[in-house]
Amino acid sequence: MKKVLGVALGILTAIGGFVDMGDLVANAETGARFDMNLAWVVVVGVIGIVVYAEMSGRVAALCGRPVFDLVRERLGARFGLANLAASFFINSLTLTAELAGVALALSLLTSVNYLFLIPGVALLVWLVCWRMPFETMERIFGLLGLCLVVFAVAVWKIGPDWSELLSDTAHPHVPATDNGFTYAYYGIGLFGAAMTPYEVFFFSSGAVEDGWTAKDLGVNKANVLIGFPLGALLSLAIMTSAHFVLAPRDISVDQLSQMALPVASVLGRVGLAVVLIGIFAATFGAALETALSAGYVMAQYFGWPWGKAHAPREATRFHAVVLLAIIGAAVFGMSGVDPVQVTEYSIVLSAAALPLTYFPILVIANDRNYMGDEHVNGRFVNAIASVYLVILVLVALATIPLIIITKGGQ
Amino acid sequence: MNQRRITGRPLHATLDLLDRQLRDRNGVLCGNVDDLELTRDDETGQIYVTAILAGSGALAYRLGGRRLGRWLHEADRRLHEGRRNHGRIPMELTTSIGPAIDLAIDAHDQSTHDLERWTRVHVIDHIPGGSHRAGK
Repeated sequence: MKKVLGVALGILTAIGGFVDMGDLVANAETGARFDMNLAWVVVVGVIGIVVYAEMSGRVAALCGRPVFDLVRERLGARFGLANLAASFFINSLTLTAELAGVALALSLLTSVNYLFLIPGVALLVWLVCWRMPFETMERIFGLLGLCLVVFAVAVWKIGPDWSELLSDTAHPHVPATDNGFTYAYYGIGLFGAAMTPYEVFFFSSGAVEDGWTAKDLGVNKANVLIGFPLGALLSLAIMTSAHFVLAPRDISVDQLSQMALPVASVLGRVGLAVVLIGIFAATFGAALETALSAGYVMAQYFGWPWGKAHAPREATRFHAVVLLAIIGAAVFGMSGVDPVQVTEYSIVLSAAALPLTYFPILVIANDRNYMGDEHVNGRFVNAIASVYLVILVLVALATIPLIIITKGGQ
Repeated sequence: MNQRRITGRPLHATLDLLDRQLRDRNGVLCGNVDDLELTRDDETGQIYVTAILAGSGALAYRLGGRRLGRWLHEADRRLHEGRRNHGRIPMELTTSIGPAIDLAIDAHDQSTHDLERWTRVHVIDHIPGGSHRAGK
């Protein structure tokens, strides 16, 4: 049982990172709009996040240094600061989206306007950051997030022709109704959602919080190899269900409630209840990840004490940043911005910032002074990681022009 | 000058020192290596790293905001006249250099911890539950 719970960090990171507001929206949207023609991006994304999250966890376990510490150290103070500004901004947008997502899930249950629920949600998120032990948090929200498996059940219940579905997925094409730009824009959104930087900020800091050492390298592997593919599978299930239920009816996803529609239409009220619990847990988990990440990146750049393993009064600046980030995001969320749109921007922009975060991880994972001779990257990992670094740079360069050309995916 | 034999691995100041995490004698994180103080030995012409500089003043100075850097440093010096080292940590006080740099100092005596203390007194201590570890 302890072994099973040992992968809770990976499951929470992956559920919170892979089926958070960003992916819920991106996957449902792309499934409804492009059928299965963008599913391959999720597969490309999951391999990338597995490779880089494993490296970040390994570095954290061996020398106790989390990702943003490495970012500052390898990129230097100036580029590190630029990355801090970009990451903090994107992270705040994501936090706003997640708070709104939790509130929306609750408003579907209670029929109270979600804007009224945001302050309460923000307070709950802060309370967990302030008082709940890291391990408890991992377990509760990681495991509750597994409710999203109902999307897979719904797909199975629809009973698609699996071989046709598989061949559709394996032979993607740009739909005739679309110019290539919107297709690329949504592709980048999906990729950004799969590899959002806060996943490695949170995962590596979590590894330090959980006190991983060289003995836990196996746990690290299990975490990334179980957690992220599971997250990706859920993403694909969401996309597939949208493809079957929403696309034929020409429903485009601009509200969270539409995302739950496929499950509700196939599995009825029980399905809907389970899916709402799952959405609640996943977005709440992601809200925790991003709220804590705000503190992690800031504290790690400046070298402050951080983490839930200390009493708040021993890591005061860290907790102050977390608190301010939550308040800021709640206020922005209550200003009436469209949460789905905030989500879209946050994932697409994070695609633009990816190389600055992932490059230092790759460099350190090859540094014998940090890793020892035994645990530096092997050739195979380096080969894949290098290919991904090239992809990340290309994606980053394409992002801003694509936002402008497609007017934000219109 | 006595020829000292170099033992262990040679260190590269920008790669192995700059921007590394600092830890005090109890393992408390206490800033980053924001800049280094270099001193030239007049007799030999050798340049030595004589101190680690930590704190927002040193960081701003290195990042190019010379005026901001000097101002922050000056403000810090006036606030704590003669009391502390203003983020200057002599190299003699480093006990090990690795992924983090360990120092034979107490974080709480450092001016880099002032903001930490200020936040504790003015923010954290006003919120219930801040003095215990989560779950304790």
